[in-house]
Amino acid sequence: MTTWPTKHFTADDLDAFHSEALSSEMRLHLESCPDCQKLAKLDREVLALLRELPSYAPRADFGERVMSRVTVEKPGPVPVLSFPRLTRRRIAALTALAAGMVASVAWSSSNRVLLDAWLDGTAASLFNWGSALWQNGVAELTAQPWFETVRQVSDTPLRLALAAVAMVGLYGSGIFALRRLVTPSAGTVSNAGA
Amino acid sequence: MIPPGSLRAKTDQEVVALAKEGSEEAYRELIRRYERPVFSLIFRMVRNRELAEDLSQETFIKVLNAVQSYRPEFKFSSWVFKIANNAAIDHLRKRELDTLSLEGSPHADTPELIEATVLQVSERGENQLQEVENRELGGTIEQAIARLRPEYRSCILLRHVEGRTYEEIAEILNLPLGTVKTYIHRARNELRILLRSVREE
Repeated sequence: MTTWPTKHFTADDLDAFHSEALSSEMRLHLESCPDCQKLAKLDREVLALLRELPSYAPRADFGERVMSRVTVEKPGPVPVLSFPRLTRRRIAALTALAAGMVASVAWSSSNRVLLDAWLDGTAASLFNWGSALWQNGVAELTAQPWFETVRQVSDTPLRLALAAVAMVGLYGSGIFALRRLVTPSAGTVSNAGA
Repeated sequence: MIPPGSLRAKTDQEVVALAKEGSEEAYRELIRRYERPVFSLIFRMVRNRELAEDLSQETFIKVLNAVQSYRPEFKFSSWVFKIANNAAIDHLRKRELDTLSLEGSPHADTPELIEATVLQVSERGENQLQEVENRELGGTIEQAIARLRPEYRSCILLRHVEGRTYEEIAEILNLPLGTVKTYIHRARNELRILLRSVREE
């Protein structure tokens, strides 16, 4: 005949017993085990005694004593818009700024042809300067000793694709490493003074 | 001005929000709600009325002076009990009071250590709970709680006297959930042993 090992009540079973959530297996065990019956009954009595313990009150002036040492903070009104106070220097600066803007608009309106010529000339100069910079940059790059090797690597579409994948991988690793470096640790923050 | 009594129906979070707006009545309401549970917890931890008054007062001053920085995602009661428990435990650590256990320290892992930490009954401050100890079983339980290790005592009081959940207690005491469960069941085991011995006498 096989005898199964006896599985008596655990702490979790006791909790389940008190909340009437005991498994059917343990309920069957309880019906036939005097030790567990005694344990469950005693535990129930302990919990009942704990629940019936009286609550104690401090002295009647407790609240007043606490309040005498507490600062009741009243938050100040939050201004919808706040302007700095107008001093003589600020008024002078604002007047100068407004006068400058009016003078600028007036001059631009009366010298339109001259202004257009200046703008055209500036745009042409900027374009010339930009293209010269680009051409010099490209010439510098192609003159580098490693340029030929790089060009050969990307000779065929397959090689180009592999190089592109390698570059993207390198870029991704860089971003990941940077994130790890700059992300602050997210520890749990408890409440003030606790 | 909020009329006294009108705050009673509000939740803790609502009262705290009013306190943050500078309502003195809200401050008083928070004291009214928690003075008994906080005082009872601390009293049962330190077992001295004067000291419990002082520590409860410290607790409320700390809580109310920091109410502006209270974050509503935490339960207000957990925050209050956390500060109260810390005040009591800090005091017990300073005074090295009452490390009593029928089973020895939970950290003792050899028979010698268990023997060394078992049943260190303090003689100090026992008369503070005399009046309740006179009531038969209630008194026996009070006495038994007083003899538990402070960690067990906090756990059992919060769970079975204040009715907090295991999760809340873990948050209040800053302990893993498993440790809280272990402490509570060890404490209950000690109380059962005591109750049984009283019955057999």
